[in-house]
Amino acid sequence: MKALFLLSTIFLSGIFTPTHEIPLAVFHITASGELLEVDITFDVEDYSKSLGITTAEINLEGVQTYLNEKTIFQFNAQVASLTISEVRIVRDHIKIKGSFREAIKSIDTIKIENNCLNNIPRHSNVILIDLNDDSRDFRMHNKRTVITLNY
Amino acid sequence: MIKNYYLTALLIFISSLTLYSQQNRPNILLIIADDLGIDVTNGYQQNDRMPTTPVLDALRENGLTFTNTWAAPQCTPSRAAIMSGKYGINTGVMRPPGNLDLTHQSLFSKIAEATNAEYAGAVIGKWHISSPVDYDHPMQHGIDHYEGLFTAQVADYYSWDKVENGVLTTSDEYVTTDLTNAAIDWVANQDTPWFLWLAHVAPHGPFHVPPSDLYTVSDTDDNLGKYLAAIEAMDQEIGRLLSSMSQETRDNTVIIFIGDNGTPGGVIQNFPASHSKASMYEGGVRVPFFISGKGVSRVNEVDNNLCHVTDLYATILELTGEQLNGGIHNSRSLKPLLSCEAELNRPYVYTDYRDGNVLTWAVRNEVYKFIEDENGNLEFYNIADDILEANNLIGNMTMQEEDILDDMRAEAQIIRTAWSCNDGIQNGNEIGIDDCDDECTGNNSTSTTNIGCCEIPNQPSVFYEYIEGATRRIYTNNFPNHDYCYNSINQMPSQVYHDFGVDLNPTLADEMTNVVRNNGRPARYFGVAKNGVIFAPAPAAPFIFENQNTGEFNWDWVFEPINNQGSGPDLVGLDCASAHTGPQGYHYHGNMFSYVENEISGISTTNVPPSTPLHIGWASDGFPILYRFGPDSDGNIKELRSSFQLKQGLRPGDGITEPCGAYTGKYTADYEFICGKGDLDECNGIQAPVTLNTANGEQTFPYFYVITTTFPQIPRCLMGNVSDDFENGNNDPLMGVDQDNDGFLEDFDCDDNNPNINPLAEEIEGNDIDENCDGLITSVSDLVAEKIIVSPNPSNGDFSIQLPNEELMSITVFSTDGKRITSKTGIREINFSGFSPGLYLLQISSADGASIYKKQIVQ
Repeated sequence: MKALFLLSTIFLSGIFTPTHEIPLAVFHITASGELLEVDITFDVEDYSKSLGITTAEINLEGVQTYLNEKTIFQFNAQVASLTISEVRIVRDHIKIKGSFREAIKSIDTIKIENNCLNNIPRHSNVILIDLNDDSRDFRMHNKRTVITLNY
Repeated sequence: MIKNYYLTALLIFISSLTLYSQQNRPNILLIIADDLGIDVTNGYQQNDRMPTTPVLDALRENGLTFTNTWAAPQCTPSRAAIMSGKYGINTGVMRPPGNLDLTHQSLFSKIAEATNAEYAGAVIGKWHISSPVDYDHPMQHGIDHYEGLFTAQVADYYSWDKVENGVLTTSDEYVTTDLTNAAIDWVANQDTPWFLWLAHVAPHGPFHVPPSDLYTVSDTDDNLGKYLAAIEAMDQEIGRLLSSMSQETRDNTVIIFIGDNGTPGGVIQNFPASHSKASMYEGGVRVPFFISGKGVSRVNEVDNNLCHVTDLYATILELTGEQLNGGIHNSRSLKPLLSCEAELNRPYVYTDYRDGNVLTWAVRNEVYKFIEDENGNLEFYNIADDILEANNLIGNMTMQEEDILDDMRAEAQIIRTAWSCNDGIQNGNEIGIDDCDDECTGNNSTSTTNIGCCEIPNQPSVFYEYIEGATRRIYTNNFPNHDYCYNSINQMPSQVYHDFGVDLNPTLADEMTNVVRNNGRPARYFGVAKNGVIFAPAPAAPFIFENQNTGEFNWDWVFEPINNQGSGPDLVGLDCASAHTGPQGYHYHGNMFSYVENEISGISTTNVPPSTPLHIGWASDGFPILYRFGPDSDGNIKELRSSFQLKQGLRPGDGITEPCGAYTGKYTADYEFICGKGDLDECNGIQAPVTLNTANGEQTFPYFYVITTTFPQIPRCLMGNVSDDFENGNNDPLMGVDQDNDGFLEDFDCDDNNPNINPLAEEIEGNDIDENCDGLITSVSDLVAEKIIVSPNPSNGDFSIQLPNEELMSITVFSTDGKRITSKTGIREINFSGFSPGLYLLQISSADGASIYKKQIVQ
């Protein structure tokens, strides 16, 4: 019965619940074995408005292209390529699952450039990083488009 | 259809069968002895000549004894200090005669203000804070009933001027007995919580021998003997007062006993005569003080914290239900100490006195004490080793002692001109507790104004509770059943479906579980309300303190949602139920006013406990959640109060990596748990049995949580074994369709095309439809069959069939081998006779051909 009823997305709520009150996107980076995975949550309305598209026009390729244009991830001073594997719309949010192609064995530095949805007034990109048994979280916006951190 | 597992339908009960008493607030009996020092109080010091005081001994042994309590060295300033909560320097009352003017709010007036005049208040005994004498002074200070003496002492213990509610009379009754009689009569006439200030004039001089049945002292020839006899008489009369009370009254009464200053010089023991009453030495200012009774769980214990008689003001206020930030004025609440041993974190106490025309003051810490007067005379003692103050250290101090003296003098200077930054009290212009020298420039404002209600519910609100084995299951669509509001259109509540499971019979776990993770991020919902809305009090991004240089969040400092409400930038848009909508759906962050007002009108503001607790939800560990009121461990239903308080001093932060400034409540971490401050533990729960009607029938739980009006409102941790269903990562909503929009997904609905059929629908008997999805159908024929009566059965061969309505029915009688014997047609009643012994089958048929069968035995 439970299996029947509890069909749901794995990452709908995840470990983090952004509020609707302030325009917000969330990038959650975690280590999985020797790979880095990233779960991204965009607000459907913000994303559609920012790109000037309808909800029906949201698809994996478009999201991949958008993220390639708007973000740069560097680990240990090496640019990493983000590959999107899944895009789903769950209620008011776009849930995106991706990973970085490069296997990251030991991360000492991270640099993130992020301009996603910055044309939405008061928009923020929240970066959650769970690496090296440590959690470090940041807020980025149109006045803070680059962050760097050391381990 | 739900066919393959066991369902117990939700049972809705309006009230519990359990009866609780409803004493929201305790009675307070404050007994002040006049001129009773520690040298003659059993439990403090021992002398060759001590009074026999079994009643006071019992009170002390059944409660908490404070060993380091200061008063002023004379009665008037001490009484003014208790009545006002202020040191003499702040009332101007520093010697007798003195007048506590009406600019200083009396304890009685403050209690009336704080409790909406719920308390009856009386002063019986010595007043002595009116100068020039005004017999209406007690009433002007908000006292309902006054009876006693206005003078420093009686002229004669057996003949004295008595004032009763503004009228001067005389009494020829032994004064201690007269005052006791008055107290007994007054208490007996109260039907609300009461506060009685019983100020005996004993054992103050003149030294007159009490009635012979009130004392045991053998030698009353000298003044000390008479003095000791007066103490014994007071003890006996206190015992008579206590014995006059019903057990129920005694059980709900806090009893405070204190002296107003030290023993007079003529009768003092242990201390030099010059170190007695009217001196600033320990023999003059250190007084006996103990508290017992309702809520005092530290029994036969001693507390060495530094206290002052002013502390009674805040302590009594908190005992009556007021919640203070440490205290008020110069008065530190000692209430937490009554049940929890702790350090008060108040390094100094102060006292002052106008000795003749010379103003004198003193400050002490744990070890040292200095006395200074306005003429510049200075004394300094190590009273930990030298309680007799025989060795003045001035001129013979170590460098460390010189530093200590400088610090203490500086503290005295602050106290005498402003408000201490070390007293643990939010007083003066402080916006937090002792937040002096705050140079922080960041935004430290708070806002507790919600965005109101703007919509009525437009979708079903479903809360369906059922039992599955040892699990209480809760199906919900998380849609509120009350008015709500939102800031923007994408914050409108919508239906989010869950099927949570919690322990049916919860037990306390070895460790508590927080609603946030170790890294500060939200970990789980606290629970679910009985209207299906989840409790998710932990704040989420972006309401986290942020390093303005790097953008890094500091999760140790999350904005407390209930104190950052509103519709502006950086504010949480909580509505009239302290709720808003996130991706997890509509959820409560705090006191859910519009929800509970739907349940019981006025429940969010009333001071009157309901006769049965309002059970509003289930925590994720399976324990119930009550709203504001619940039974204490004595089964007395009352408002249960949180034990959290703002921290003292300033936040340690630099304003960059973590916040600076006063602890205002802007951040959740601004609060700390003060054991004993309120009724509840750090998870806002209490170990007290509560009996509730649930889907599992009437159940008694050993523990429950409370939604309080003050922080944290919704608990932030759990004491039981927490269900994984509420964990972030596991609490994803159910997916599916709800064709008939009754709030039940098709997998939970036995007919998803009919909104009148679902597990919460009312079963309509006799229509061959299973409205409530319990798998049981009561058909028309079932109902008709129940109403057809064959009697007598067994019979002697004559029997009749009673039919339920006017419909024409036919009855055919068969033998057990199927042979038709006879038949008849009729309405209402059909009779048969002459049957031989045996078993018969009766076929009862309606005109449309429907039949039921009944048996008939003939003996």
